[in-house]
Parts: sequence; C-alpha cells; structure tokens
Amino acid sequence: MKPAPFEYYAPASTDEALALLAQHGYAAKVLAGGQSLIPAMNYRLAQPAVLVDLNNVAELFYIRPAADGGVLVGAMTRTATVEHDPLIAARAPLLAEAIPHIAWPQIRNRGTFGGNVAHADPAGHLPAITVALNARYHVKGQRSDRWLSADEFFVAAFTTALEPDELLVEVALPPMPPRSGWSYRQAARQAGAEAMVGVAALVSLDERGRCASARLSYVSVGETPPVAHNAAKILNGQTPTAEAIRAAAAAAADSDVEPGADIHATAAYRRHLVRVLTRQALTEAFERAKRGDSGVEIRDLGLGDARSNLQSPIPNPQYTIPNPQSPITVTVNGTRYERAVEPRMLLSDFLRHELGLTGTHVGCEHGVCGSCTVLFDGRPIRSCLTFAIQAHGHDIRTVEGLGTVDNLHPLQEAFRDAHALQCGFCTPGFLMTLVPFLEQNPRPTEQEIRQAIAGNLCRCTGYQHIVEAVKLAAERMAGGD
Amino acid sequence: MMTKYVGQRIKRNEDPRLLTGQALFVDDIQIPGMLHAGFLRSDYAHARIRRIDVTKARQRPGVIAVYTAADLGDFWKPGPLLVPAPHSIPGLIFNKRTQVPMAKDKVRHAGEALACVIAESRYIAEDAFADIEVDLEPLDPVTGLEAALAPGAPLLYEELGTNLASYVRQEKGNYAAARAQADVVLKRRIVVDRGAAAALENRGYVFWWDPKTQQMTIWATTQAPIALRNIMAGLLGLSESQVRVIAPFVGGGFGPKIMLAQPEEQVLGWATLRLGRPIKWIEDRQENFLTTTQERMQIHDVEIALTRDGKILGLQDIFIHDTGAYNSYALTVPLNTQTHTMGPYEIPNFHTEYKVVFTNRILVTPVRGAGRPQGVFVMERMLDVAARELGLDPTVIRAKNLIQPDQFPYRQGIIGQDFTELIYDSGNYPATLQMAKEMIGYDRFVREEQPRLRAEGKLVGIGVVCFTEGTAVGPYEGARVTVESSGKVNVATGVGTQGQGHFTSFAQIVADQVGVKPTDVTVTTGDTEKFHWGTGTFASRGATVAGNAINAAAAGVRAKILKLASKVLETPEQELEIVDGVVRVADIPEKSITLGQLAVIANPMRGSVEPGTEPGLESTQYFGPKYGATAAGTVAMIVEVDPDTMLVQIKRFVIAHDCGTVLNPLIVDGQIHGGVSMGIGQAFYEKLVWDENGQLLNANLGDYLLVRATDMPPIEIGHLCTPSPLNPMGTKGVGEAGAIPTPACFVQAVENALAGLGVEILETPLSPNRLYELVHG
Repeated sequence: MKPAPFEYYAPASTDEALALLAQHGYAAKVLAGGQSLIPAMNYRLAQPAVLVDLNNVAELFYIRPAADGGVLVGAMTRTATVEHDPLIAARAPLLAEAIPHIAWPQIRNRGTFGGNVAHADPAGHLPAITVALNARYHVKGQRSDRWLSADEFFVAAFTTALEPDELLVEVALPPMPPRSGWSYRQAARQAGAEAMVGVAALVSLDERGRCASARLSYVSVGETPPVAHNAAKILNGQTPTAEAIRAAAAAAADSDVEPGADIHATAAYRRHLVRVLTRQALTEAFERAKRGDSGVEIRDLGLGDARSNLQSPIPNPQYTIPNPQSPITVTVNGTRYERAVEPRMLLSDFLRHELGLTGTHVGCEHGVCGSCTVLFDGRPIRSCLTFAIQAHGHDIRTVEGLGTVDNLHPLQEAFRDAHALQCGFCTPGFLMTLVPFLEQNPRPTEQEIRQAIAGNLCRCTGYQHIVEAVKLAAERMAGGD
Repeated sequence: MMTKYVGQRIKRNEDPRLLTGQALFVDDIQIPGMLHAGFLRSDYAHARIRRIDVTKARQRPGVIAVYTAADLGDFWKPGPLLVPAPHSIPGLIFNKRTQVPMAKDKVRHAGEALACVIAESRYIAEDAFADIEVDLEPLDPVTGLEAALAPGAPLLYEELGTNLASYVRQEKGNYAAARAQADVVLKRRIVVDRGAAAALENRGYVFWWDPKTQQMTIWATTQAPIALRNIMAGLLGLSESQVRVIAPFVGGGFGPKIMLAQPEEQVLGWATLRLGRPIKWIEDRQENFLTTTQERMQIHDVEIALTRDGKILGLQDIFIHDTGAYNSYALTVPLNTQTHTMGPYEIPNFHTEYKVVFTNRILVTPVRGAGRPQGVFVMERMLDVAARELGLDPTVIRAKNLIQPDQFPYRQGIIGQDFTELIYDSGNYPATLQMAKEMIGYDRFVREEQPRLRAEGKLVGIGVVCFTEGTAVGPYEGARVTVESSGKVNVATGVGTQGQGHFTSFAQIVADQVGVKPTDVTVTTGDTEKFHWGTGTFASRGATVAGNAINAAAAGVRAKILKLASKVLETPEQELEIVDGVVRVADIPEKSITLGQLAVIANPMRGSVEPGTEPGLESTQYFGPKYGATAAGTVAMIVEVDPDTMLVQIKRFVIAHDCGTVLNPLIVDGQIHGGVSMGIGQAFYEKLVWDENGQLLNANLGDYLLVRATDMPPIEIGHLCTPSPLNPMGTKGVGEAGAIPTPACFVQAVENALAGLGVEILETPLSPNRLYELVHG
C-alpha cells in the first residue's frame, strides 16, 4: 500500500495554486489535509499525476467574523481548529458540536474544513452541516470567482460544481436567525466510525414560540446532503410539540431522504434512523431555542488546538522545480535532518527507513489504527497520511523523543507499572497521543481518557490497563514527580 | 519450591525497550543490499489462469526479478500438511489440499498470489504490478457453506468431484436413546460468521541466503520459529542446521502467525536462494484481510434433549465448517468446536458430526479461541432456549448441569485436537458460576434493578455464561537455563512470544529456583540458534508447557549450584541457601560465593575434572503433559440497548476465572482483558462481508471494526485456583479465556434486554442493523 508516483507542487499563494491547476487541468488533484485522498492513494484507488499541495497557502487558513454576523472559514482551516475556535462555538455551535464526531483527533489535526466539504463524501459530516447552516461556497479559478449555494455546489456523490481549475477557497456561514436552536445527532457503530446516519438541525422560533424555520440536512442518506423540506413544511408556523416533531420526523424519513444500503446499514434501517434521530435532533434544537442557548462549550482534550495553520515556516523549494528526489529539512526529536525524498514517500516510511527511527509503527496505512501517530508541530497526526515532503521545515516528535530505556518518561513508566502494553506494537502511537493530552488535561476522567485514545487501536489489552496507566501517570505528574 | 516471585504482580522486563521504540520488529530490519518484495494478487475469487505476462515488469528500472508459478519449476508444489488429520477417529474423511506458493492454472481465493515482484523498494514493486498483464477467466465462486455442498456447485478441485474437505462423526453414549426418553427436545439452527485476527502488526519476513556462509537467516513474525525452520529447510532442500529463524518482537499473533509454508514464505525462500540477497516482504493491511488466515464460519443444526426439570439427557450437533480454499491446518478448529460444545456440563449422550467444505476464501486456521467460541456459543444458546422453554432461570439450568468438583478427572469420551480423548483434569465449575453471579450481583439485578430500569423504558439485560478452555496441549517444549559468569541467568526456549510477557513470567520461574531477581534473568525465545527443539505458541500453552520445562531446567541448575557450592564452601547442601545471586551458608551468611564465581569454577580452563562431569551451571530439560489442562470460568455482563438506534452499551462485565497456578496476575489479567475485547468484537463489531462474487467488501479497518477504547467496559476479574495435576507448577492456559465465552454472553444479555419483543438470537456477529431487523422483522 504505497502511493504511485506524482509530480508535487507546493504553491505559497492561492494565485500560484490556481495557475498550477490551470496548467495541469484534470491531471492535477488538490491536496488539502489529505486524510481522505492519501488513503485512496495508498490503496492506489487514486493515482493523480500531479498533486497541488495547499498546505503552504497561508492565506487560506482563517476563521473570521463576517459583516453580517456570520463566520467566514478559509478552506485550509484545520478541522481541529474549527472544533476549538471560540467564534465558531459562539456563531456556529452546530458545527462545533458535530466536529468531534469526525474520525479521531489525529485526523482532525490534519484534515481541513474546505477539503472535507469539497470531497463531497455522502458519509462526510461537514457537507451536511454546511447545508443545514445554509452556507455559501466561495469558488475561485484563474478566470472565475463565484459564490454558490449548497444546491449549486453539491452535484453528486464525491462531485461538486468545482471545475478542474477551480478551488473552494472559503465557506461563509450566515448568522443564525434570532431565537434559534441547533442539534447534531448521529448513529455510528463506534467513536469515529462512519455515521450510518447523521442529522444536522437548525431551527428558530417566532416571538410567539412557533416554528419560524427548520432546516435539516443528513449524512449518509443520499448522493448529496438532502434537505428535509417536507419536515420543515409540517413544522413551519406550528408550535413544536412532541406530536408535531414526531410528524415532521416521519415526513423526513418517508419523503425527504433516499437512503441506500451498504454493509453497515440497510436502506430500511437508515430510514428508521432518520426518523428517530430527526425526532431527537428537533426536540433538542427546539429546547435550545426556547431556552435561548447561545453557543457551546469548547471541549479541549489537548489533542488539537485553535492555531490556524500548520504551514511551513521556511520556504519550500518544491513549487518551482518538480524533482523525483527533493531535498527536505526536517527536525525530528530536536535533531535537524537534511535528506532528499521522492514526493510520494510517506512520512511514516521516511521516519522508519530513512532516519532509522523505527519506534513509529505502521499498522494500516489508511489512518485508522493509530500506530503511526507522531507529533507534528506538537500535535498528534497520522504519519502514514502525510508525505515526508510535507514535513519540510516542521518539527516532528516520535517515541524516540520521549524517555530512554534507563530514564523513562513518567507516562512510559506508568505504562510499565500498569501493564498497559503486551505486544507493544501499538504502544508508541498511544504514547504520542497521550503526551499532549496529559499536558492539557492533568486530571482527566476515565471517559476523557477513553475518548482521547479512541483513535488508537490496541488488539492485546482491551484498553483497560492503558486507561489505568494514564490515570497513574496523571496522578504522578500532578504530584510533581 | 519457594515462590518469592511466582504469583507476584511483577512489571515486565521487556517493557522499557518496547516503550522507547528500541524493540526490534521484523519491519525494522535494515540490511545493506536488501531487496523488497510485493505480490500481485488475484482480484477474482475463482478463476482459471489463461496467461500472466511479466515481460514489461522485468524491464522497469529498480525491478530485480519477477516470478510467477511457472518460474518456480519443480519447486512449485502444494505445501506440507501442517497438522495431521485425526485418523484415530473411525470413519474420518480428509481430502488434503494444501496451500501452493503461487496460483498456477487456477485461482482459488481473491488475494491469492499470481506474481512476485522483487525490487529496490516496495514502492517500485507496487509500481510494477501495473506492468503485468494478467488474463483470468472468472469462474463461479463458492461462497456459501450449504451452497458448497449443493448438487451442481462449482468445484474448487474438479478432480475431487466435491467441495467436501472432511467429514468427522463422534458419539458419546447414545443420543437417539436419550432423545426417546426426553421430556423436551429443542432444535435450532445457529450460525457463526467469519472474522479476522487483525494483529496490529501484519505478517512480515526478511529472508537472507548468504552464499558465502551457506546459511539462511529468516526473520519472521511467527508463533512457531522452530517449526518454521524445519519446514523451510525441508522445502528448500537445506539442512536444518543451515537455517536460522528469528522471531524478534512480534506485534500480536492471535493464531494466524502459527501458519507455516505460506505462499510468501515459500516464494521468498526460493528467491533469496536464487538472488543471494536479503529480501523483505511486509504484508500490508489490505493483504492481511485477503491472505492472512481467518476463522469461525460454521452453521450448526443442534438438538438438545432434557428432562422437564432441566437436566440435560443428550445433545446432537451437526454442523458445516468452512475451511476456505485449502485445508493445510487440517481439523484443529472443528475438533475444538466438538470438544468445547459440552463445556463444563455433564452431557451423558452427545452426537457430534461435521462436514468441512472448501470455499473460495482465504483458509481457516485457529484464531484466538480456535473453534472453542463456536462450541460454547452453541451450548449456551441451547441452554437459554431450554431455560425459556422450561421456565427456568438461566443460571439455574446451568448450575443443574455443571460437572461437580468431585468428578475429576472427568472423561468426556471424544477425541480432541491433540488426538487423545478429552479429559478434564481438574476444576471447580460451580464455584466460578457462584463467584461471577456474586460479582455482578445477579440476584439483586434480576429482582430489583432490572424491573426498575425496564419501568423507566430502558432495555437492560444480563447474561451469564460458563465455559471451559482446553489449554496447554502437547507434545512438548524444552528450555536451557544457564548461569553466566556475570552472575546473570539466561533461559532459552523454543516457543515464540507475541506479547504474552514470557520475558517476565519465565524469568520469575527461574528467579525462584535459582535465587536471583527476575531482572537478572534474560529470556531468549524465538531464535532457533539459541534453542532448536519445540513446537510453538498456540492453544494457550506457552506458560504451562514451556514454563514447566523452564521450571525443570532451573531446578536442574539449582541442584548443580548447590552441589558445587557445597564442595567449594565445604558445607552440606542442605545448609546452603541462595539469595539474590549469592550462595551462602544459612547460619553463617558471610561464608558465601556468588553465582558468577561458581559459574567460572564450573567451567575450568585447565587441570582435570572427575570423569562424567558436565561443565557449567546449565541444564536442558523438556516437558510434555499427558494431555491438555482444562481451564474454566464464568462470565457475566449487563448491557443496555438503545431502543431508538439499537446500539448496545456494555454496562458491566465480570469474569470468574480458574487457570490453576497464576505465575503473574498482572499478565493474566491482561490476557483476559484482551481476550474479552476480541470476544466483544466478534459479538458486535467484527464481521467480514463477502459479496456473491467472493469479493471481501470490508478489507480495511474503516469498515472492519476493531473494538476501540470507547467500546470497552471496565472488566472485573475474580481469580479461583484449582491447580492442574498434570504439571508440577499446577498451571493451565489463559490466553483464549476471554474470547471464548464473551460472544455467547453478549448475545444472551442482549436477548434478555429485548425480552418481551419476541426476539431469539442465534447468530454472531450482531450489529445495530441486525438487531433492528430482528426486532422489526
């Protein structure tokens, strides 16, 4: 599972990126976070001839207040940044509430808002949420600059209105109407797994407590995120009683969605989930509207933060000279390494085989197992879903950068004391996830610990001793050991 | 024996290296000039090979060689049968069809190797796949078990004229007669589907033939390094002494890494002999789903005959077992199913019979549990069906039929995976049931909590399942214990290790015998150069079979130490003691000598010794049990089903477990936790799904769901100890304990939660969708 070769460009501005797209047309694929694209490339399901990497386009990393009271989100803003942003929490709480359901922290640290939306995966959360929020999509090409509505932007599964020479540069989230409430409900088989159904609801009340608007959109029940118009019709102008909500949920399930079947859910079960989740979502959204809730609390596990970009602080030479062996400079565990790499070399392979840092393990090469987790500028990411060339100028920390055999890091010591490892293959990935977690959460609850490691698979321990080790380490580290 | 260390929660010797990224795994090996292999695999499950043209691939820069079955010449032949068929069972049918190095003429499962590319890097090897022209004629695949036996079914092996791989029938007592006397006879069809072992580390090898030394070194992710060496030497026409197999740290085994002479091993061995350069192949996760062996698919038609008050008179179980495209591992899995169906219960009459069928899927070999979970599932489901029918509490019907502590050794009368009659050596089954019930508060839950929660609209249920685990089978293992002149003690043994903590538990055994600290004992496992007799790590046998060999060798060394020290210190042996690496006179502690000094004396460089003297403080011993020790336990869990989504949450999980003498409770707890998590996976998350073309639809970890930290309840463990009389230390195995009863318990608890909705569940794995279908029709 190694990607096919490609020509790699890392433009530093939107204009440069658009010029490259104009030049290469259909041969080029845009690399944003890469958390969907790189797995497909590792499986060789995607074999783009040219990759235009936007990770150095600083101007696309932002969250800004819009003049109308809404929010503007730059396309390259990391999903984790959106998750932790106070402006989003205040002005688009639906989004803040839903994002923790997107895969796992390591994926959200690398994945981007615009990339997720433009990928238009029917099972993606963000397309449906932007639809529920009535977002507008800012699209640019060398010859175009246009704003699209959701209806215009989402065309089919994995297909948007973007031309091959265009980029989604920004998404505008309008202000929520007065007296509004929101809810996000999903049914996934486990934390971070694809949602069998997700429901994003944004409702508002008029001054007499009747439903003024109800906009619902869905994950995993159609080619593009459907809008529940029939459900909205039932609610509009009505007092949102349990009965009205039940009728709207039934209408949504029966006539607003066209679910398909896959190995996790049949169409009938999906329709059932649409009914029950719509009922739950509407109930919660109207309750919030009645109470006048504003914003949500940011849940910070320390595994992602609000820093708006991770782009290279030193110029990347790759923009002008595509070269089969490209020189890069990477700092790993405090040591600066200069190497020449093929652009397709995965960061995991680079660390292991070029630098000989074999403590980082590779278990799946599609971002699910977590064994290859390393810190990228202090934040855990999957090194199998990042190209080594993208680490140019960045700071990487691997398990070799924690303690040594004779002088273990307190977390490593606690892992040993609590028997938190058996075969030890997944262990480095757990450690690299937990180090920043404990720095941010010196006194975590058991539930927080389990959530923090939900993106790391262990086949030996049943996780129990890992959880105990984290508690032990937290106690000792808090005690000033 | 003193047990200062055995039985203690001692932290592991191997951990510091594993925790700091300093432990060597196979993929970490770098050798100058090393090449990388990739295998082009069939997209079709069943096809005739018309043509494979590798000409273009051979010309790609960076490609060193490309091989197909045709290139292997005389080397190409079906591999060896790895486990004999149990010919002691009368009427046995066994049609041997073993794995081949690469597909020739015909492909029998999706993922079967068509060509091997050897290149400067794995990236280039995969690039070259696109250069290979493959012309396959697809054939109808065999995907269903009953379909495999239907008249006119496509055949994997035309010359056999059938897809029947085996037929085995065993009978204890007379089921027909028991049935005739029964008050109640209940019949059900029970289905267990396929899952993957999914060790986090995929398979991997480095094969290196060095022409100058005429030695082959193989680094392998194997559970059985010695068996791998022997088989590879045989296949490659080398002497065993020319082949060294090293299993360094292995990232989880769970069964499939016991497999030998797999296609990749055969091709890599052959290729390095030709090229004289080291070759690495690391399986990727997609290949792991397609080509690493799997388990569990069986369809059972079961009948249970009981008296009105719930006493079992007899059981009849007729099942079909899926072996996949080959049957190299013979019948271990279905034999285990047969022997574990009776579990801890007294079943006077048992008729068990199965057909094994070839299907167009990767082969079935043991995965943690190895046929046992299916047997337990069948029995426990039937007991629940019977309890409902007879209006009995599920724990009452179980208690009524348990074998009692005074009935051991208990003969079960049928042949098991070690080809001998199944005999339970020891145990106290009622005590495990009682303990589990108390731990989970069964009576209070059923009487008070459940009715209260149900009144609140909560779908809560409880399950209680009893099980046995046949462990620690023969034939034997061995060990050599040596006191080194540094005063440290080395143990070498032949079993492989994949996370079981052998570096520590074995050290504890030696530390007690030899009088050193466990940290002063180094353990070498999995290197045939260090120890070359033994069989491997499987069937929860390492700690017991190798452990007892180590205990015997360490006792031998202790005797040598005392004998020599007695001479040197001029004191009778019985007045000596060994404390922290020093032999001293018990009453005069200053009269002493260190083990290191003794080791030097024991290996004189000049002068003469008495004839017959063995040098060194060293002993090599072997241990083989008469038959396998049977561990046992009871699990109980409480679940809550979300009535809207049918998602299930496990609220509590308890296990009362008896594996005899415990060497290190920390490690035993870890083994149980891991087994339970795999059992939960099999119950609710892990199902491999094939379409009608024999294509695996979820060959990735995004769609094949392994249990995550957020899915696991805290596990409460209660230990009981009935030492096994079959070995001096009294140990039994524990590695598979959690995996065996958990699916049955989960299903019972979910069914109990859904009581009143008329749901009977006779299958695993479940899913929220499947529960929705069962409830809503």
